[in-house]
Amino acid sequence: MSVLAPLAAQLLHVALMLTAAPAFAGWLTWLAARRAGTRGPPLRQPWTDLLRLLRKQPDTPESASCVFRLAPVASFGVMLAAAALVPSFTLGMAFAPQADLVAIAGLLALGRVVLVLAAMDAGTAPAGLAAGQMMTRATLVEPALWLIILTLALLAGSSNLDLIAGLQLAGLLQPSAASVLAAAALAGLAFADIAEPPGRIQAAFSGTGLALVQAASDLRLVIWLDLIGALFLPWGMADADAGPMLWLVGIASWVLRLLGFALVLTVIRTGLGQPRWRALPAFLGVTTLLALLAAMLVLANTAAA
Amino acid sequence: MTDPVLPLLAVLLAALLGVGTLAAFLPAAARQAIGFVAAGITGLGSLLALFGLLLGHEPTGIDLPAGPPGVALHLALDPLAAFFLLFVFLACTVGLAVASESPRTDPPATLAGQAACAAGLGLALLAADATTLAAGLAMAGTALWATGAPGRSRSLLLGVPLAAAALTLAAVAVLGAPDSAGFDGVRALPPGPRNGAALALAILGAGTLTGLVPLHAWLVPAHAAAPSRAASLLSGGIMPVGCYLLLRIPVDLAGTSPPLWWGLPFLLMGSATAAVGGWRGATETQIDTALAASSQRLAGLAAIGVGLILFGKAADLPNLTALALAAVLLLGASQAVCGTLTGLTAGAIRHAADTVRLDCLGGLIHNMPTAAIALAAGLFGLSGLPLGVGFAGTWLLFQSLLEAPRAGGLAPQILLAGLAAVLALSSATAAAGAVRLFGVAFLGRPRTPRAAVAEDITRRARPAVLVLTAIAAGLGLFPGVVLTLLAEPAIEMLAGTGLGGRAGLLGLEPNEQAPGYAALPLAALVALCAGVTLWLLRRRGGQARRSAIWQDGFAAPPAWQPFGDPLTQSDGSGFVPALPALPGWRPRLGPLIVQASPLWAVLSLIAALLAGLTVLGWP
Repeated sequence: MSVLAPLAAQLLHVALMLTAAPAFAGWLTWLAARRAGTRGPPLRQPWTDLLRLLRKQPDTPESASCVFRLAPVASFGVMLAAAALVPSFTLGMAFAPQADLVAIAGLLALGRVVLVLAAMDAGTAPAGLAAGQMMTRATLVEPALWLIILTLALLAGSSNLDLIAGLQLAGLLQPSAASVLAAAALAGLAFADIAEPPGRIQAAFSGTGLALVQAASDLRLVIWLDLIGALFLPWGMADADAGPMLWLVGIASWVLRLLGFALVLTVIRTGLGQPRWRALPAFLGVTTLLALLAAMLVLANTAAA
Repeated sequence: MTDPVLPLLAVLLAALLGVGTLAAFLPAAARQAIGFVAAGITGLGSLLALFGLLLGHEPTGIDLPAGPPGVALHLALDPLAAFFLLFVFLACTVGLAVASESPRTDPPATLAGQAACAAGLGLALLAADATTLAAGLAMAGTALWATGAPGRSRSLLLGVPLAAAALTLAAVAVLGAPDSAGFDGVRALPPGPRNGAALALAILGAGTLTGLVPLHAWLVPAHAAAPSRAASLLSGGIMPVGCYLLLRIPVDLAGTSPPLWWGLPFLLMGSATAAVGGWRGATETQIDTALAASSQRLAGLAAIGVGLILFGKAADLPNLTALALAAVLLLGASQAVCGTLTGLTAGAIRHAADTVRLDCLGGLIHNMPTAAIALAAGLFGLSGLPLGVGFAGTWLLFQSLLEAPRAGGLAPQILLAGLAAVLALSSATAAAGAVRLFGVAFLGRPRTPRAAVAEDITRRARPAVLVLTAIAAGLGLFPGVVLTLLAEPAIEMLAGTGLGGRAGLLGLEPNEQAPGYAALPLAALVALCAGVTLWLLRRRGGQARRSAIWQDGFAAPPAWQPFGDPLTQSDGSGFVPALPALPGWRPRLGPLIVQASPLWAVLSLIAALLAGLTVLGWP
């Protein structure tokens, strides 16, 4: 049991993530359409699109190398690996000891880097522009992300995601004001990181490549939300050894969390709009300050203790 | 160390110097053989250092009579020197092997200078007293100068190592040991008020050599002045030796019980260097200068590590000291291996495409696959992306940051939060720089006809480059093994405690039995995910169709532009956010320092005066 349960939980988690990512994207589109007063596409639309794209023959530029062909696969693989590390419905999965937060942040960066390489290999102007924009945004996102990791790791005494989530679940991450600040900063980061840049990198791909890039982008969104969920709202998460009944509770709480996130995200997006690209440095600057405040709060507490 | 290792290494150094001298006078045909002999000698030296590290014996020293009677070179092989010697000589071996493959295009001085420079670096690493160390650095500098292309910047190749040598000499002399006692005598001295002056001099000397921020103006002109094959010596040989000096003088010799503020200059200069190096790596428009900036970034990270080591020693946190020390050693090894790889590739590109300007290259991966693999591996290690060795070093630095808040008041801790942000910013800009460099030069369409017909690294030089590529990948996948087998004795020597069970086959851990960065399982997970995806796609079958690039509806390029308009491809600008334009005066130190290169001479003069005064018994 002690070996099998974490492994089964891990496999179930990966399968759930793969299913949920396109479904979540469809749910977001549907909600946005309802807010705008239209009926919206059916919920299975992203799945239909992915299957249709997988049947199509990909089209590669004449000058492209093997990097262009392999990069969508590699990018999706890296994103799937990151998704396997971020817990959704249970703690203590098979890969929990490897779920270091800095490594997860690194994997997210690696997935982006691989995709950017493919965009540069396409040799077109829009793809090159989108590549530069993606890396620019990464430069702005990364400092705040590491400050949040520093905050949580100082609170928990380790930078392992599973440990931090377990302590948060037990209410042992004190002061919780630092957690709140870090949560706000992470939400800001996720909001900025999933916003569409003006240059769409997807325009360079077609067929199976486009399907993989799209799936990776859907996965990325759910990974961000799962990170927020696991780090700050891990309620209902079961232990991997706890048995199927508690797993079901965990899955239910996870689905509820995702639905809630989708509602909030839609209300923000339709009510306040996406952060404009030119305003992104200012927006992420505020986020970084929030993260710095959280880190300072913890450090001042440690110094006083 | 075992008794025969050090004498053998001394013999090898002498042989290397002899071979180098010989190479300057032999005809081109014989020079190829000479190059291989020199590469064999450095390779043997690297193996000997590995042998000594694995066997792990007591540090030994010998005196070599050299020069006038009564004067001797003091050599010693301790774990720290052996670790750096292993990687620096490994880098030199590959550099020499590649250099010996193109004897006709290079002037004879190049190969000779490279061999002599390797000998000088080896002497500096094996030195057991300040005079020998300075002599080694001076030898390396002179040899580098001999390889340089005539021009104004050439004097930097000589001046910078000479200034570093003089400053190092002064630093050890100020510490107050009689010269005959060597480093052992310095270590035996009680810490005194002179340690502060020694620290300042050591920062100036080692900081110049590694390119820490206020002292880095020489880097770009020196890289431009060095011939393509010797430029790899700058980033893969000279800069790791600078890292070694950062450890040797402030930590080993002067840092037995440092005050708390000692780490501060290293932390400040290191973070400035890490940020500036990363940023410049993502904005420079030439390959060699962008690569120099990436190496400089790694040196900045190493300096941050040295600051944390001193902080840990002052606050008596052995865990912090050990983690930061492991980080610095990994970064030093990465600089030697990956700096050489990228330097050699930049040289190959300069040779093949006759330019280092990014906006004249493009699509090189089709004709230069070996160079593409080597540059990708080198950049992967230099940047902070996971599964690369740079990430392991950065991760260790981050973990030692987490250990640090147990000491000091609030003020140093604000600095720590800033350091975390700097590490992140530096990693992000380094990733942007790596992607930009590889993407613009090797991917996409050729931007000039010359880039379209560039030739790969010669066939006989390929194995050496590929072996180094494999070593770079191995360093990234097995950082724990490297630290356990090779760095543990050095960490025990300098930190008092070793890593113990915290570094192993599977990865690195911040504490015993705590989860950490598991490089190998992560790599397996990524490979599994990508492999299954690829297998499923392959099973579906279906060939991709190749077609002309869709230019958003614009007309097809004219016939005289067979690769399309180069301006429609990204030239690598805009990969980092635009900096706000600062009003007012902007100092342009670079040209100033190159034009007034006597600055380095003045610095060395001051250092030499200080050293002389101290030896004469002042104050």
